[in-house]
Amino acid sequence: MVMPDTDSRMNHFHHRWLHDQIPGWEREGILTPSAAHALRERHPVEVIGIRTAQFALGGMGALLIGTGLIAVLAYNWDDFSRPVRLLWAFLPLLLAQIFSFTVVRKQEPAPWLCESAGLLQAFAAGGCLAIVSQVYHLGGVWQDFLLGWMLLSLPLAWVLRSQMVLGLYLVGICIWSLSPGTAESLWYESATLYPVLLLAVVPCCGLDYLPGCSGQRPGGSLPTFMRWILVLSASLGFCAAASHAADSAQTVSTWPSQVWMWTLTVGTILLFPLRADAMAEPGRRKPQGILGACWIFTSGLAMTFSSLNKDLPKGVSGALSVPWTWGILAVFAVFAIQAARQHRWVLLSIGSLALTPLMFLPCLSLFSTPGLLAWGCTLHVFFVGVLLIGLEFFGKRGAPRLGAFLLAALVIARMSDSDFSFLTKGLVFIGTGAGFLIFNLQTVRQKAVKNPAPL
Amino acid sequence: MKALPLLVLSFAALLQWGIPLRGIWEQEHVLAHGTLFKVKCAAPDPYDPIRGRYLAVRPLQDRLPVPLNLKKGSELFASVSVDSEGWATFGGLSHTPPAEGEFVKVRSVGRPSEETVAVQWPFARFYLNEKMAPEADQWIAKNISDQNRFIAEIRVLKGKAVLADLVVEGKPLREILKAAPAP
Repeated sequence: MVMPDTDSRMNHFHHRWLHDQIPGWEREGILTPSAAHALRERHPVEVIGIRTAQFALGGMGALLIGTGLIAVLAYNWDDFSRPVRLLWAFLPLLLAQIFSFTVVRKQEPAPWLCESAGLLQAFAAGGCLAIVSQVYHLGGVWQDFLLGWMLLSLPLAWVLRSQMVLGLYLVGICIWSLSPGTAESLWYESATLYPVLLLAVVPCCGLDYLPGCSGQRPGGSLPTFMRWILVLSASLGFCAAASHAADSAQTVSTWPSQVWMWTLTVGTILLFPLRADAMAEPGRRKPQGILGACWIFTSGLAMTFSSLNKDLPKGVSGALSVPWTWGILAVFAVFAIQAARQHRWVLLSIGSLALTPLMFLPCLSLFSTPGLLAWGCTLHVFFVGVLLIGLEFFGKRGAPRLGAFLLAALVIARMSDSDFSFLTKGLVFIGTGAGFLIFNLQTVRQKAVKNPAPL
Repeated sequence: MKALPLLVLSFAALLQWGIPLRGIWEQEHVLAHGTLFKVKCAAPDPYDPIRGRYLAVRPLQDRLPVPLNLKKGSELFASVSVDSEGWATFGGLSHTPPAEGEFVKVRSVGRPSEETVAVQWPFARFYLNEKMAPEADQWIAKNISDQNRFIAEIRVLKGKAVLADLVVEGKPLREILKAAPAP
């Protein structure tokens, strides 16, 4: 099996161009069938991406029909009696359900049909609930309505394999979990329910990315935009759940505890285990890596400032008194062990930055030296930057440019927080910038040696 | 293999019909068989991002005596009776339904004071169409000096309360707004 190309700078359009040329080259005898197959595997094209236009148009059509119906009804709404209004509430739902049944009964329904049917039925169900609420002046907050609507729409994502409905569900439960609640809410009325709600999408996303699982998700792998929605929803939803857990524990120093719990949550998502072929995919198809690295780098650099981390030890101690934190730590540990087994050293080293305050907590309780945590964080960030570069020298897959960027950012952060003179700061910045440029040049040359340009 | 998707879709369709129909049946049952009460209230005009514009019906009697062992957000029962002038008044709160008389299921909100606690009423919204609600607000501000002259007509049956209509000076608000000139 040929592994997809992840090192070259070919993007989706290049891959697509290549796929368009391959049949012609085969006919002319330039490529053998096996070479053509190998090229297709090495430079895969997202099949789902080609169908994006179909999805978009189908979904847009469904939305326009729904919106148009609502506008027409709204114009004469006050003139209708209650039974007539209820008829208008249920009629679109009935028609949408008939359409969905027709689509499901087909042998191989076209994806755009499934998307349109799913969206229509989801919005018809939501519209029906909204109209009934209006007709009978039902109370309640919009967050509860949103959750009910999302739960009623979820089976459509399962049955019709509708990615639009799945995206709607993920966005809906994320918004619901982020809406302000009270610390005294029961767990199923608060963001703590989010993990259970997210588990419900497993039949749609499948487990095909997890190690040990085989087989493809029916209908192909999740497209890139859906992965971004999934990761954003999961990150925000789990962070909201962590915040609620911190709020509920009234003895906790809330703000620093929450920030550290968010960092730990993002670090756990960063280390989410993947199968070997999923690991080989390009970075943009693994949004948990990009988003996780951005947050953890930012928080890691922020922790090097004494003024920002002075309440952090107290916050971390407080967070450790919350059972939710121990749950995240346990999952983090499991994911970290799996990442070590898969030699994902880059992600492990980045993820370790989330544990920095925890690692230095025992020292802080023994030695009350001011600035100890800031120095400890600085050393840890420095070590991670060096490791990301050094992995390449040990024949492992590293991230040298990322490491160099982290070191440069660390230098800038430390200089801005120091009392050195402008001359010293200037010389350090010049030296760092020059080193950065030389390093970049070396990396480009090394890549050119590894992947020489064709003659 | 198609049997399972059809089964799940059928179950989803049943739920999508069943939940609103159950709500309709409950509301219609209360409207048909419930006892009518008239409650003095105020009615400002906020907005629900999903269900649209409404008048927030707030009974003037919005704080009730604190029951024993009150927990924030807990479900409570408020007894309802009619005073000598024919207006509904809400009595004490209890954790269980009263043995006699009509009562309304409410929920406590906010921190209670020593003697009273705020409650969330089940008949808190009167929906108007997008155009009428802000016009209602403007017309009310212009023509009604005492903004507490709204009367909410509610039907109560075994703890469930349904808002039947919103009345101003004996006339339904919708009819007043239809007849009133545009602001």
